[in-house]
Amino acid sequence: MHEYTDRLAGSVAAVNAELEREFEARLVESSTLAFRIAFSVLRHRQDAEEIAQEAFVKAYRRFAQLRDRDRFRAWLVRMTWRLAIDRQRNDRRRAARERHHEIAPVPTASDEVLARERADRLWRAIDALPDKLRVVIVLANIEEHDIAAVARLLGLPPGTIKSRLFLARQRLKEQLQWILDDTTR
Amino acid sequence: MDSRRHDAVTDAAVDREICRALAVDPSPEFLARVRTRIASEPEPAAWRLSWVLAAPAVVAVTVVAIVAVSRWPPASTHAPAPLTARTFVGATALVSPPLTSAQAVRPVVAGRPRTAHVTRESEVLIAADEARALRALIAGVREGRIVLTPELNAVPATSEPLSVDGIAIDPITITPIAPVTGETGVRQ
Repeated sequence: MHEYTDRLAGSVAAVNAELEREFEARLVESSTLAFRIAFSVLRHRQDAEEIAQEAFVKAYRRFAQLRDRDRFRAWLVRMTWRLAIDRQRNDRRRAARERHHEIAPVPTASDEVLARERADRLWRAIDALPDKLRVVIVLANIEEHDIAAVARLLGLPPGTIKSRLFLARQRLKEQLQWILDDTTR
Repeated sequence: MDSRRHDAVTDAAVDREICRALAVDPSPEFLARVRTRIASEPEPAAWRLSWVLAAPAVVAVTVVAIVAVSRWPPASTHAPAPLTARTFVGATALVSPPLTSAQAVRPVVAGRPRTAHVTRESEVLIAADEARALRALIAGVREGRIVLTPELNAVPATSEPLSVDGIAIDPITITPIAPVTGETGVRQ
């Protein structure tokens, strides 16, 4: 009897250890992805880390159902995005203050001022996009995801991703004309 | 003019700008903080599922083991048998079938019965010394060493019914009910 329960406990411990190892691997390979998604919404390093951490904790709680690599990343992306959007909406005033603090132009070298202004314009243009276009353009520019990868992460057909990506780029081109002129000139 | 400039801006340029804006890495402590936070989390419910499945199995095995132990008591070869009733199950065992003296004095070993249904019978437990005395009495009567006739005749017969003489029961008198005043069939 004791031998049986000991064997059972040993098996359960082994399974849990294996799950811990798998989760650690997912954490290492997806931490930057989660952080950048949160950062693309919040533009504040500390807030982005908090949101990414929260997403990982939620993923840990459900990891037994999310062991498949693609499902894990897709779930993590959507969860991080949702958490970040919620944080942005619920704490908009604070986020605006932090963003202002972070992007506030410091009167030093003119190049630095210009760079900050460019970044500010870019983020404002991205912010102006509808959520469904914004997440697509952000994901397409993180870890060089192609259309198929973004489609898998968002659980949408590749055709939908392609058209949303096209629309997002068109709108950004309109908004960022002066910046991109400088770059392409 | 504007449209030409607009066309000149390529998708690659847009993507390059966004990539540059997103090229921010988490702090080096980020992973450590996540690990610490996860370590402080209780074990996820889904991970305990295996225990949830294992617990009923353990309970079931325990119940089966208890039942098995209660049905199959271990044979004890050295333990004394204070109540040696196994060979004297029921009162009839003392009178039929006829026992040889060898059978009557056969030592009784407590332990596992030969068949399960024997253990299910109700047992009459007799102390060892009384059993020995009864066996000796039966053997003595059969061999003619002991004559019980005088003792049996001395016992008063109590099986005859008692006779009852003249039971007197008083007659029951019933007084008639007085008629109701007024005409029959007329509503009062």
